[in-house]
Amino acid sequence: MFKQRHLFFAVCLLAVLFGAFSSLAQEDIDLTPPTLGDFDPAALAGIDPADFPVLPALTDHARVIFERGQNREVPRNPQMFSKVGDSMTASPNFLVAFGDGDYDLGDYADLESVVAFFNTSEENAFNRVNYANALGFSTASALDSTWAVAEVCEPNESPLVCEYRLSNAAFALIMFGTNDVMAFDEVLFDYFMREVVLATIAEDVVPVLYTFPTRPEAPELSAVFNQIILKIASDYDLPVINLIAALEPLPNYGVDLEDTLHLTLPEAPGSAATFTDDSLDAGYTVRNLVTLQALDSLLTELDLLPSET
Amino acid sequence: MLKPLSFIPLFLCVLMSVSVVAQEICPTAETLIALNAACSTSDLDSACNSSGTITPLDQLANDESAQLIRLSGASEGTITLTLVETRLTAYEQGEIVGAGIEIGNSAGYNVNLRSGAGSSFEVVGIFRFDERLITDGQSADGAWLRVLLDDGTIAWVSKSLVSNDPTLATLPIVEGDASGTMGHVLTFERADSPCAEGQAGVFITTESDTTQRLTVNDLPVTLTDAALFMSLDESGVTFYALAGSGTVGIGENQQTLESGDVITWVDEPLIPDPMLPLPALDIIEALAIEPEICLVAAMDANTDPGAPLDIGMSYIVDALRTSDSGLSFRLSTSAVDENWVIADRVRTLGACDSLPDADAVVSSPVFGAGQTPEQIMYSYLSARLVADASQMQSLSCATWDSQALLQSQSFRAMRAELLNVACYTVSQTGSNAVVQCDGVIQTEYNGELRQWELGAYAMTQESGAWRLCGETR
Repeated sequence: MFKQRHLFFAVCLLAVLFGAFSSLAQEDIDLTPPTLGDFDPAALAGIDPADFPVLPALTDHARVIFERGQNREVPRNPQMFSKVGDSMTASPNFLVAFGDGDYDLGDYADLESVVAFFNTSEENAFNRVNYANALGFSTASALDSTWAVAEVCEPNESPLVCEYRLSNAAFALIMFGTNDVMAFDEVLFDYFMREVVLATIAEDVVPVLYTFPTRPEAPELSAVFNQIILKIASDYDLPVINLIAALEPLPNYGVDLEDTLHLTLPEAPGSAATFTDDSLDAGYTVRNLVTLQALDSLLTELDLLPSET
Repeated sequence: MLKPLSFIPLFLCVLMSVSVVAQEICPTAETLIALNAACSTSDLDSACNSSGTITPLDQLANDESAQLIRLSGASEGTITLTLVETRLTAYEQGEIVGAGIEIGNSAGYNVNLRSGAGSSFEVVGIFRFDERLITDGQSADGAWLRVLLDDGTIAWVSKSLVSNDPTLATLPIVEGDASGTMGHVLTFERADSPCAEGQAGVFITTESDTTQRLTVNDLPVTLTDAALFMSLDESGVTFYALAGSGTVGIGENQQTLESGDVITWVDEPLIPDPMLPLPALDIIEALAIEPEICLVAAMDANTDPGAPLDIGMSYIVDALRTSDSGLSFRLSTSAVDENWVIADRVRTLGACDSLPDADAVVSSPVFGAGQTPEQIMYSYLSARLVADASQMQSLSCATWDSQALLQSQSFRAMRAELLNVACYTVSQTGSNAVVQCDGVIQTEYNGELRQWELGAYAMTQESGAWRLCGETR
């Protein structure tokens, strides 16, 4: 009994401390919707993707968002994530094989726990149909109800909000830039990307951002857009997977020069979920690996997976 | 042997003769009618003058007396050039620099250029995603466009991968191995004459519905069932579109000419001086040009039209006004101050009955006022295809403003077009209405076509005009 009482108080104390901490973290972050034209190029000075680690740590704000999601009337599902982005995210080469059981972790067998964590049923986070990714998708598309799937989404509902409603995911893997860089300038991309992130936060879904592969046709603007992504992650205190850094050692930086919209695939068909040295020379494989590693790290810090130590 | 002093009367006599000749060559309707009569037997691809002298095309380069030139054009069309106080200084059959239509790569990625009109032909180059090329012809089935690369290579690109431009359909059908577009390349200069500036120039006309192309004074010009007047002065040229449509220039400087447009070109297109005049009305009438715009001219030197008009010139007007003092015309001008002439005191030619009422425009400041909900919705969809955010926002209610901005951008990475779209109002209650739009927005991305079904839209009235305010599907 004594022990139980102490445990109860300890949990309460932790909850109070956590609540205070959470409030503090939130107060520091300006979640005011952006105004088109507010973008300040000078704010990007000194942001170099090379200075950022590939894998993110769980940020304070991400933890707050996660907890808020758990406190909803219908809690967000921690074993579900949404895949938000363009054709590289909609691709069957992105994570789907892990949901189908068709993968080989190779030297990364320790990632089995994170695969298992999300692989809850035949249709799972890895392989389910997502409603916020598509060919030609850009940040603007994610917010535009025209792109929402009419059969399942509500009138005036954006693909993003529709996806979060249907998936009830606790996490969102968000990668944009490849199409945006061919259509938008820095001002529009900054504006729309912030809108995507804020809409995700407003739904109590933890945004996990990515830097995106350099578009060979627009390397300079790609670099600026990646700076913007890192700045947004910093402004909103969010985890970001620095994919551009992970792709840096790969041939052609992991980009298919015959089809510059997409990452490269390993020579063996369907092997982007096979973590062998050969396969890890391909862009899709590397993205799959760093995504699983990032999720593993975040889940561990959220105590959803046991720590290795 | 004549004494030296005896040359003086002879010199004066010659001087007077020259002066008379100079006055005589100032253009009048009579001289142009006489010219047409004298040249009535001239063949296509020849030049002619008021003496009836006919010069075949292969000798035209050396013929400075040419006054009327008839040239063969595309699809059996004819281009007629009537020179007014202007001299032809050079002519050649040459490659028309930049003739054709500029196209962009709408695929969003690099696409192949092939040696022939089909995907089975050899790849001879790459059309970069951010590149612009000039196409001068299309394949017989219209599915491929011919482009001339900088190194002289002739290549073909699939029409489905380039920017959607309705004028592409007007391109001539060309053979794969033909050389670049050959055409008429002419150079003119203003003749020394006592006539006023603005009267000298070249009328370029074609009655062909097929787009005709030529190069004049180094400028690629196209015209479709059109009449242009090209005025020459020391610094450059000014084009007036009297009827039909056309283009002048190439690339980012290319200017579209619709009836009433005036473009001055000195190295690049410039805003023309206000109230640039045209040749006299009777000259335009004598050339059988039927302007699609309204032209006015002073009656005579003693009649005050209300604004200064040079005798022997004509002017474009763009609006009318009816007041207690009667009907007035507004002179088309880029100047801030408006100039009005009294209708009863000017001669007119062209479409003067269909001018807009300047006061009516002023009394309807609300954008889209008077349009039906379905018209507003259709305009919104049309603006979306060209990513015209400001147009879309002005057609939206306040709460849809940010969505309009989004929607203006969300198809930017792809090529979009409206297919079989028809909008109609299905219900209307007070200041609210529902518009149903049938049809689809079709997008093409990375070679993949996708169709977006349209639906029902909520419309509301704001400040007397209908605005899009959401979806109701």
